[in-house]
Amino acid sequence: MATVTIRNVTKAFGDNVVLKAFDAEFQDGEFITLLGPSGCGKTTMLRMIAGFEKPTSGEIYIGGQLVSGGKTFVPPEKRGVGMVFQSYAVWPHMNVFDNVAYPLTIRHTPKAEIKSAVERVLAVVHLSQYAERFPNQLSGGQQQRVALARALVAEPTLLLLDEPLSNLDAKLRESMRFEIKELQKNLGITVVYVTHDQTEAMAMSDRIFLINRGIIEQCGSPTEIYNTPVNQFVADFLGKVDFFKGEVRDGRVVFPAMGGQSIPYDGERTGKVDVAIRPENVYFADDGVLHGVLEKQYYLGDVDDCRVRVGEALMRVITNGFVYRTLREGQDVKLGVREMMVFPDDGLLESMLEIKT
Amino acid sequence: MQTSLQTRNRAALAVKLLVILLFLLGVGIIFNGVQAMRLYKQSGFSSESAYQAVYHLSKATDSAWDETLLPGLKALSYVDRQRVDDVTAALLSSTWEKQKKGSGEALEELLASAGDNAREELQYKLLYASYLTAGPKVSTANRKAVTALTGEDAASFRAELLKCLLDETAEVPKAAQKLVGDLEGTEREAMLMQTLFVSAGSQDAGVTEWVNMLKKTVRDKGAQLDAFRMIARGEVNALQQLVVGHGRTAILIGVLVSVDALLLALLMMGERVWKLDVKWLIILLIVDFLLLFQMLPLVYMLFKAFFPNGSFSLETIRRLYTYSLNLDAVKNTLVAATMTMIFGTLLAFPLAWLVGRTDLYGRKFFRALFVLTYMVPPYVGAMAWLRLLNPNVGTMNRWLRALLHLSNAPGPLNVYTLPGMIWVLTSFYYPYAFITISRAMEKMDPSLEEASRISGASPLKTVFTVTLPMMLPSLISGALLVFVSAMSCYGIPSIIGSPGRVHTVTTRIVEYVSLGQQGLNDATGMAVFLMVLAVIILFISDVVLARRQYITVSGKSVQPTLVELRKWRVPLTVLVSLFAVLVILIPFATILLTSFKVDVGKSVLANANFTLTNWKTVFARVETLNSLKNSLLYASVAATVGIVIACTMSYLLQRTRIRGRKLPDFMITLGSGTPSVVIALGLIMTMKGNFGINIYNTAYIMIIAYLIKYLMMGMRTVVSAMSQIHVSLEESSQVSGASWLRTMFKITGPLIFPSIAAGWFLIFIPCFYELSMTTLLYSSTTKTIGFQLYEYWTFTSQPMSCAMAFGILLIVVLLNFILNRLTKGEFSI
Repeated sequence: MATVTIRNVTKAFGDNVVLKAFDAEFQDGEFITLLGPSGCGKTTMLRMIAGFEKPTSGEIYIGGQLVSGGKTFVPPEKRGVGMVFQSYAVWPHMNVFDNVAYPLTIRHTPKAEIKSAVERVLAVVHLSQYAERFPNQLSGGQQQRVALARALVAEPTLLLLDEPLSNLDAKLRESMRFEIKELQKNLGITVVYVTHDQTEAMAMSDRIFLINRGIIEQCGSPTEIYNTPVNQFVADFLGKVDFFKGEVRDGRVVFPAMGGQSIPYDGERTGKVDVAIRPENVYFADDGVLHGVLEKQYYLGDVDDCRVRVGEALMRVITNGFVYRTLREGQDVKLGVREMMVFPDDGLLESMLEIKT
Repeated sequence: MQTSLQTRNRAALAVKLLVILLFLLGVGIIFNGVQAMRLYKQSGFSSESAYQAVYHLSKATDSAWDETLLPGLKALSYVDRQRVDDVTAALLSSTWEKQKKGSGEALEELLASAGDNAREELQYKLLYASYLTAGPKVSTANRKAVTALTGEDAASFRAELLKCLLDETAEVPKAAQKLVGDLEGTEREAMLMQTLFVSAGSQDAGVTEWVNMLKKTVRDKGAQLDAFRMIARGEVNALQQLVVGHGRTAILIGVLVSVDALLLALLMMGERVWKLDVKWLIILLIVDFLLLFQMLPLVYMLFKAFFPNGSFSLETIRRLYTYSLNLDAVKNTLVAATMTMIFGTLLAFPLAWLVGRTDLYGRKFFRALFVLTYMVPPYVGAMAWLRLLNPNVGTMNRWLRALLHLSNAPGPLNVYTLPGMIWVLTSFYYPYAFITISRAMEKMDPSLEEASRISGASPLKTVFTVTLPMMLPSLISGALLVFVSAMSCYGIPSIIGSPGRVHTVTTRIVEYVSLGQQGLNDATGMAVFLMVLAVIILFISDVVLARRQYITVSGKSVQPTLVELRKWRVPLTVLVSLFAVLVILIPFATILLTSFKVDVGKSVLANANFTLTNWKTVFARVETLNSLKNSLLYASVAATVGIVIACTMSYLLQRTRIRGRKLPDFMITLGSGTPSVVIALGLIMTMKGNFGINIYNTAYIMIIAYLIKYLMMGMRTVVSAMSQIHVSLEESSQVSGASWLRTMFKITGPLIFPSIAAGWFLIFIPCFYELSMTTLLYSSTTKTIGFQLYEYWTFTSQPMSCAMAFGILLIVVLLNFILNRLTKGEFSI
């Protein structure tokens, strides 16, 4: 049973605190993504689970057993987890078969068993005909699948993936995304996946841990995180968003920058607020609540990406591609807002959005 | 449009014609040169006919003895040594036999006939002639002659000669002085010099002056000898005279011209541009330089080894390699180099791993320390170990004797043995393997090892299944580097091996060179062994291994996980520290302490045994300062010329697709792989005027030797820096409107400046303390600090040379510090 419990883990390299009081519980069979900008500490967390780094304080349990914490430290080779590295780390001096067989060879598994296990797992990653090849004869995607096969061959219950798709080209990345997800579902294993790519996180995860500057900003399912972000950072990191300063007055949010125009609001916030509006939630409508001038539009085929000047503010609107033909730049437009996220204005917006690496 | 195309076609045609003409010119010159050589032979000039001419002349008049016989013999000795032996022996013995009297009487008579005034002079000249012809191995006939003449043997003659030279206040026979003035043949002079130094040290200014004069005479004699040959023939016409002596030179120039033309044609065909490009001229210049000063000497040496008298013969080789001393030298060299390689690698790999991949205490410090040893001149280490492990007075031996309660007998360790030499070689060449392996380890993606750990392998298992196999190509090339370095090392065997009669090929070569003309040929025969071995190893590491290098792409640069040594952490740190103390601290401390001693045999703390005099004396001496100045100058010139070539080469290699750009690169690699002694020997053989270039005994020959040996170090640095700079950086500057030159100065230059500085120092430092090549190439005015130190050590005083050695160490460390600062810590050796 591979649950992972991380209790109050802090990690510092010298004076540089990378992770602060990290608390998390990964359930068995869950696909967990650690998401965040580079330098946020997500890889360090993964490496601590693997046993390549020691927490400065706190405990890590795998399957209920303490692996790091206090005086206990189980070295990586004794943790029984699988891991795929960003650089694949496929050994160039061994062929595909030997690479994949390695974890079993180390365990002194009988030869015949190794053979069948390797064949099985190579079939799973579609590499059966490449067993005799050496890594330098394989493409990036194939090497990546060798790494995956090697991580899976010993049938671990916990699989760690460190940005495994970041070195692949866009098309391959997309297909691998679903293959990995499929594999995880079929094998029923727990996966901890590290990425800075929000699309990957959205597509694969059961739960996303969004990390910034060493702390968990929010954890939850992709829909939760996307639709109900707990703060401005989360709203900004996932998807596209515009922020506007406003004030709640008489059931409306009034925007000074928009020349005092306002949007109806029935939420509980009062006073000064930061309003986050996603461009896809804004639409052109004759009965829209905001009016402005269409300043620019970029036709992208599937969508029409527009900039509308509302008062002094500039608002981004992403709408259906066919709208392109009906609008002209410089034309007066009215905008409807389907949904907006309202956060209290604590004056920290700028610093919160600034990504520290 | 039409006209411009026509003009271009016409220009291309002109260039094509020019190249063809150039080639024909080259071939023409070669043909003429060969013709001249043939004429030279056909003209009947041979040692045989020369002998006869001389012999006849000698009979003509008494005065002819003075005027012709001796110069004739000398000339012969220059051409054909074996023949001269016979000639002299025959001449002398035939004179006695003809007289049918006792040999002594015969010569007495012969001498008497010369007249009273000339008698003394003639006596010496005869002696000298016999010494000249037979050198240390005076043939029976000569020995008889010498005995008859003076009642002393050749050795005492030499002693007398020396006495005459050294004691200027005493009554010096004029003849002896004149004799030395007449000295000829580089070999005699070299031997004489050595003997001089042995007896007199090098303090005597008078001696130095003498030696200088000698060397100059030797240089100027070449032309006179040629003239003698002509006269000996009598009927040679003027034109032929002119051509004959220059046949070789002509062939050489012809080869260069035609090779240039061929290369030019190949370059142009490759590029399909029939226009003279400056870049190509630069390639040609570099190629010509390397052909002349690197390939010619090497090829000529090979030729001389297998064609000693112009026709193929393995006689020399057979004689050399059946001679037991040489056989021992070859055996010693192979054993020492192999064992050094094995021990060096066995030390280097664990050290590189401990320092690079584990949580060993002070790992960064140790790394810097081991790398630092790399730039210590090996002979300094040899000096230290000699002080430590001398069987009688070695400090370490005394400790051991006290510790083990041994008697005061020599031992227990003796550095003057093959194992002693292997130990010193290992302690100074393991850093070569250490650096190679460390660099490869740093380049290796740490996740390759992590992947093994996560697969269930322990750290130790990972070392054997992943790290070691991945490192194997680098490990082997590091090991081969150690092998070649140990095999070509002269400093350590000469300081440690020679006193213990442990000969190596390099020490044998240097000994042979000091013997004379025949010695030069023998030295060549020995050098061929080193050359062949070096080429084989170069081929293995550059061609075979280079293909097997695993290129691993590292993702983000993650600090590698350090393997926790746990309970082994302290013991292993202690072990590494002990190693560092033994190999680095103790030797350097010994050098430093010895430099403050009055009596080497006593502790520096002993009563009145501490002094600063050694330092004061050694650095106040004019010759020390002169040699220091020479070293700095030569190393600077070599480094500057070298870095210009390096920059040009790296531009050619990295920024152009010109065909043939790999050729100079290959030659430079070959040069650096050639043992120093071989490079120096080759230059001696070819640059003394016999190919139209006479730079023997000048600073030029040393600088050229340094360049050939160390150019690659600088070149590799600049090339790798340039390969890191994407062309787009330069292109974007040019797109911004900057000219090519401006781009080089504003963009490329500043970006690779640290590497250029590093490259300069990488050439400078080894040139600065070079010994092996200098030993063969120096003259009294071109001594370098390394050689000066070697002389002090051998002939003067050990504490003084230790002061000097430590001074050199300080300078080298200082240079490294400057380099580090200059390149903002990016580079140090």
